[in-house]
Amino acid sequence: MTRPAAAYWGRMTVHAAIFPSLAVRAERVTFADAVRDHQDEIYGVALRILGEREAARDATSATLVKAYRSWDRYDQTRPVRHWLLRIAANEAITIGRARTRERAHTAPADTAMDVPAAAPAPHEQAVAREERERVRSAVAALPELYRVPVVLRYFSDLSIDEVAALVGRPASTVGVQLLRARALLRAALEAS
Amino acid sequence: MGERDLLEEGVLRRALRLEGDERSPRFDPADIAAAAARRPVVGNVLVAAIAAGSVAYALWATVSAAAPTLVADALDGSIALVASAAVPALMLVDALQQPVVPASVLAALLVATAHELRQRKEAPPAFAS
Repeated sequence: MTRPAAAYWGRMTVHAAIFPSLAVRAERVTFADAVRDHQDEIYGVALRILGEREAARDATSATLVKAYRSWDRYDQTRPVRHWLLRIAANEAITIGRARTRERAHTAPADTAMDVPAAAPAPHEQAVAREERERVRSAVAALPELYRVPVVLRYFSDLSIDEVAALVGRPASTVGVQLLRARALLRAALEAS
Repeated sequence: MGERDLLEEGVLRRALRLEGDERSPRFDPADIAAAAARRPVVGNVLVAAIAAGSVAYALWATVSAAAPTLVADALDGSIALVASAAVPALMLVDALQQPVVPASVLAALLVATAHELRQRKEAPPAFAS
């Protein structure tokens, strides 16, 4: 481990030690806290962008490793969630592109998504599950340019401004991309 | 449920939500830290290249700083050697390109020799019997 664990996992600022009443404001998020609080969302974003659990696990691991290495440079005045989601989206994009290249070299494209095996369920649940899978498949089939904003907007519940800040595009551009994505989704759902 | 319903924001959000069997595997911060400490192969190559470059630069700087006169003397000697060989070579080349005896003098000598030989042939020897 490159950093002393005791100093790293539980560190607080001097302000918190001197002024306990300000501890809530002054307390810094530790890396362990960030992992505990956000790993599910990071994995979810990666899964919805990549559509495969193994790839999502790799992207989550890469995200957390990168975050650990950059933790000292991270501006703690900004939300750690957004910072982690930005890394996660970039890692998912990188892994997705690499897997696309691998598939192009090895085998015909397999469009089947990594979906859980259908468990016996009542009719309504089965219908709901089928509709979810249709929507997920349509989202997974979106071009990367539209898929990432859609996942950040509808999975992570970020505002358009927050999505724009994460992907580094103007908010107006993100808004247009979301509209375009919904049009593509509509076409895909009508065709399926 | 129609296609328009499937595109409602609430429906989209519910569809993308993680289900119970899609939960994230647990990531241990200590494992992440251990993985972060392992330097990738590209990093090792980069570090080795930087180290080799630094060593080469330090060696060159040391030689340049410690023995500047040696390098200057060697340079001067080589220049003098080239110059001593170049001076006679240059003279030879000049002589070949610009002969000292003009061609007109040679031509006059040839004409005078031919005239003298013709006169000797025409005039009888004075002591013939």
